[in-house]
Amino acid sequence: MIPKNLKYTEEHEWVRVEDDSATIGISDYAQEALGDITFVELPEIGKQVAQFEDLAVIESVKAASDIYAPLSGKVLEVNPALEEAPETINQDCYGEGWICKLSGIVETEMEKLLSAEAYEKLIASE
Amino acid sequence: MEPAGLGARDTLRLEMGYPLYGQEMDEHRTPFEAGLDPYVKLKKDFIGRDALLRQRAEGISQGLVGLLLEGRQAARHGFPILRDGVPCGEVTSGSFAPSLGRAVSLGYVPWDHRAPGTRFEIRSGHRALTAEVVPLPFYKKGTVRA
Repeated sequence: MIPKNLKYTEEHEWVRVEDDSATIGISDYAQEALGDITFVELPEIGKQVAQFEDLAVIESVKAASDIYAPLSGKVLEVNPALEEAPETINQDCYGEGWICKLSGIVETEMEKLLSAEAYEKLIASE
Repeated sequence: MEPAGLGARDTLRLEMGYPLYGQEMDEHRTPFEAGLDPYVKLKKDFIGRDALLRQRAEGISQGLVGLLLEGRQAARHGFPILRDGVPCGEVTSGSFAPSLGRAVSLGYVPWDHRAPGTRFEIRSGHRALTAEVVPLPFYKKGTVRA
């Protein structure tokens, strides 16, 4: 399941850009590979991150995985539902299971992201 | 029937506080440190008996305990355990425990600080997790066998 209207990274994050802010999450492929998600270390609001830098950590019973910022920006909002119910990411990774929102994004960085078609090819080869 | 992999099995054994070879037990730990005294018969002769007698006479420096963490974030194998900011032990296993809704760990702490209620800090990268010694098993509703 790869929504066409999103952009992706090679590390399996997705991003949805609206005006100058971006919503970020992990792909269905990623949540499936991680298994039952047990904890999400969310970034601090107001933190400035650079593209492809560490943003969050997702822990599952199997492993702890770093989540990277698909774009540079400032953390505007984090998903409060994940504190008590991190499994929301397993249930609805493209909707209720979003991780955080970034503001002040730079549009030119979008060129380094993958289209839905390119991402589909990437996971088909993994 | 449903498939259950190593992750599921490891969660179940950890909630019961069972030690696993390669984690809680290895060639650097004696059965006394790992809490396995009931399985050691010092009346019999066996390889390592002298070393165990010597350790018992000289005192044991660390012992295995169950640690209940404050939140859901897991402390994993090898994470340092601190007391008053000073490293004093090490986590041997850790995971989120679905039956408890909290993360739990097994780990070695100073022998004299194994009492339930003793609090430690576990260092996870740049974060500090708070943990408290609790009696084992973590999961107290028994097993299918007993």
